[in-house]
Amino acid sequence: MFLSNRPLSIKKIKNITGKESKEIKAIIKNLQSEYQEHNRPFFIQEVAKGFSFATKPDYAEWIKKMYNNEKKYVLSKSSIETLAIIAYNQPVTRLEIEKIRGVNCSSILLNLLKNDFIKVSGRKKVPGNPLLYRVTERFLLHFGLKSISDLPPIDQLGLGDEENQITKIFSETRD
Amino acid sequence: MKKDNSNKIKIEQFINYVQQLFYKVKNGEMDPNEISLLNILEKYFAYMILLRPGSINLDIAADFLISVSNLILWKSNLLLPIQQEQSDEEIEEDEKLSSDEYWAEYKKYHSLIRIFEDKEIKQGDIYLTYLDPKIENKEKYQTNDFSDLILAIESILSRKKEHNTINLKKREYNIIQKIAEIEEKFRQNKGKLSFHKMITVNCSRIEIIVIFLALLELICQDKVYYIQSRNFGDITFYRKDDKKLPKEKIKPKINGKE
Repeated sequence: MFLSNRPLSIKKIKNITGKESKEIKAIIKNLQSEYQEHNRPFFIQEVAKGFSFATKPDYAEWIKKMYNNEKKYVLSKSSIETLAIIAYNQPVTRLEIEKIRGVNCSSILLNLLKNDFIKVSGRKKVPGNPLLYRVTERFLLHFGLKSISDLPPIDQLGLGDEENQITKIFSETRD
Repeated sequence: MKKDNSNKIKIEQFINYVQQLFYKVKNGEMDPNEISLLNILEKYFAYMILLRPGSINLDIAADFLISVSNLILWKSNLLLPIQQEQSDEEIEEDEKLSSDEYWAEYKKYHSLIRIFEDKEIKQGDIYLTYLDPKIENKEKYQTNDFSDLILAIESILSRKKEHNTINLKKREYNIIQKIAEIEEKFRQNKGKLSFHKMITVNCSRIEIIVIFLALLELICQDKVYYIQSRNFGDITFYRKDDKKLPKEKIKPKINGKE
């Protein structure tokens, strides 16, 4: 796990060690507890369908200095919105995304493709055979998600004050 | 003439019958599904074939087409689902409803931005064992696609100043083209051409070879013969179909060295 260039899945660990999944999970849990108890600067994070060593957020400033204050890739609001639509509806076509967003998404999709946040997973069998998009492992890593199922259910999303305000603005504009 | 009149009457009766059918359907006296348009059309075409071309009355034929078209339209309308006309208020209500549905759907995804941003900030302070910025940059280079290369070359080309240059194209010669040129020269020079004059100063080595091969081809085709008036002298080519044949002896060789 320490040397792996991507989060190690239980299946992969099982293939390497020959141990049962339950046993592996128990060992990881024990290690997590041990690092917590001894207040280690690192922990084992379950991310992108696997497990990986990660540094604690408290040490982020020092690590940033080590990397000459290089910032991590930050996504724009429109990119996040597009990613959210893809994640909840994947595989999805550009037209379907645009139908929800109401604006052209070509450049955003191109940018997300270039930065490996999404990938083309095939073509939809409809006239024109449009490309279908899916989120990648990098999407899960970027947001620290275990898997797509880790996302909150879309139907249960409550409207906060900000959303109510947006609704009000939209209604006023429409009227 | 009698035959034509009888046919005319029959056609008129036939069309009257079709029109009657249409009116009955229109007035609801008859179910349009009971009418077989295929039968009517087949019978109509049978009549038309029997008629001589000159005896067809276009007015009657056109009336028939209108009646049949109306019947077809009537029958096709019955196949369409019945649309209830909506009032303006109802349309407005529907539009408002679909607009509300759209915003409700959009807001769900819009509300996710905050959640994702929080996750992004939280994860931003966590460094995985391999996801350091250097590796991220390396990954970025690996995922570059072909469009980046095109953009890069376009950028270089836009910086590079264009010099005034002339592109030279290599001339190509072929024997058929040269034969045509030689034949044209024969016409201009009354069927007589000097070998030395045929080769101009501007001729390249390849062009000279092609001219020579073209002349050989013309000799082989028995269209041209040649004469050398004296040793090491100029060789003159003559077109064979030319009537003014010189009296000199025809030489079998072309090299000029006997």
